[in-house]
Amino acid sequence: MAGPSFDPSGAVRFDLRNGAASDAKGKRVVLIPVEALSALGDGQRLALAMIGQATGQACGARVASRLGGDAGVRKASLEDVVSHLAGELAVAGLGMLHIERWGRALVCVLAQAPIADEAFLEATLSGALSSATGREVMCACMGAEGGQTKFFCGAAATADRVRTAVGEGKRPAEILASLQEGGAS
Amino acid sequence: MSTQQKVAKLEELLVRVRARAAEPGARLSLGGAAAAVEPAHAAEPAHVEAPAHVEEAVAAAPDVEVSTGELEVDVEVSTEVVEVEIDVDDQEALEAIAAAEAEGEVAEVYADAGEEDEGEQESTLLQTSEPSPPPAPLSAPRAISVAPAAELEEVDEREVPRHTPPPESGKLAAPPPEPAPVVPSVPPPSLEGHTLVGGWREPGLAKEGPAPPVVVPAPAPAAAAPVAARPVPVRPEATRPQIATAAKVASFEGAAPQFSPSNFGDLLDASLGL
Repeated sequence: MAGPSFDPSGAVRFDLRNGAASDAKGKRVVLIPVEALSALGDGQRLALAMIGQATGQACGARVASRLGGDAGVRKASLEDVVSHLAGELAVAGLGMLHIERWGRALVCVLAQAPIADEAFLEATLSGALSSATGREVMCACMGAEGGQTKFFCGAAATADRVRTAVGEGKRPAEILASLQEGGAS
Repeated sequence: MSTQQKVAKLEELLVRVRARAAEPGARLSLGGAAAAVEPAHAAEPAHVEAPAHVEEAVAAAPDVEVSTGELEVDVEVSTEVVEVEIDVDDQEALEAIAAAEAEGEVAEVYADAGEEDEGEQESTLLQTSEPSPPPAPLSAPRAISVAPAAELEEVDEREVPRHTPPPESGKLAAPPPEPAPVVPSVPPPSLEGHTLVGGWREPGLAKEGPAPPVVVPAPAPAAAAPVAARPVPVRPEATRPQIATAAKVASFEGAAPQFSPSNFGDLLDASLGL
């Protein structure tokens, strides 16, 4: 059964009289230049990661509100969830998202990301999925190729194994294949 | 040695031979060309006539060179062995002897020293030219053929070229080397186009002419360093394998587990379960 499609109408509201910007639910947002976020990445990675996580959680929360809560998201189809989640990230200006399924592994592919900081993007996606589904989901970057960055989404321990495998120079296909066999390295 | 000296020497030998002939045990057999050798103990004593005709012949032929070379006479007078060795270098005298033999006028005289001693028999051939056997001395070194006066005169009239005196002892000058015949280096017709020096010549060009001289370059002086050989460019020689472009090299067993999550929650749970 097809769920409600993503409707971006009213996602951002600008109150020009009061000089405020807010999301569809009335929470205020701030339009921050990308350079400002990139400057944080040099020495304050944790702060940048926190910004990303917060941004992602806000997106996930909106998806969940549209899909009937975290239970509704879990029961929703893969396409519905991807559509709402990608829509929310696009409105926030964080790039284009789609999901790949590699066997039993869930992989988020993000393109046109405003910031190439891996920690920021990992925190953004982890916050969105966790907020939308009500589960602790950790995303680990597997590298960028062709302007697209792949992120493994799963348990925190598995995410650490993926990072280790990436550090060893393995390619995403190798890492995901090894994950299917019960090991990441 | 002049002719007179030779004659005198021969006369002395004649005297000695006569003396020996008079002794018992010596025998001189005179006969024709087929005279046989008889043992020394056989019968009669030798009868030697005086060689008057020899002396006359020698005296009548003063121009005949009996021997222009050295006449070595080794006479051993003994009652047992008579050994005479004569070397005659005069070719003319030998020819005269041969002519006399052809006419059957040669008498062979064998002097036998006798068998009673050690059994050695050494015969001396004495040759004379006479119708009747001349009284050749037993101890004569060899028979000297003396042609009759008429023959000698005839020989003289024929102007036989005189021989040059024998060369003195010592080293002789080597004759000048004869120049080697010039042989053109043109290959035979069977080697059409190919030269003897390993090259190849255009057939039909300068076939008859002498081949150009082969110029052998002089070796470089030792002080000059040898020119380093130019390295030959090395080119790879690739050998390509012949492998089929299409083949079933992989085989599959079983089927991969199919995972078809019905909703996003199932996929998330599966991914969290990795």
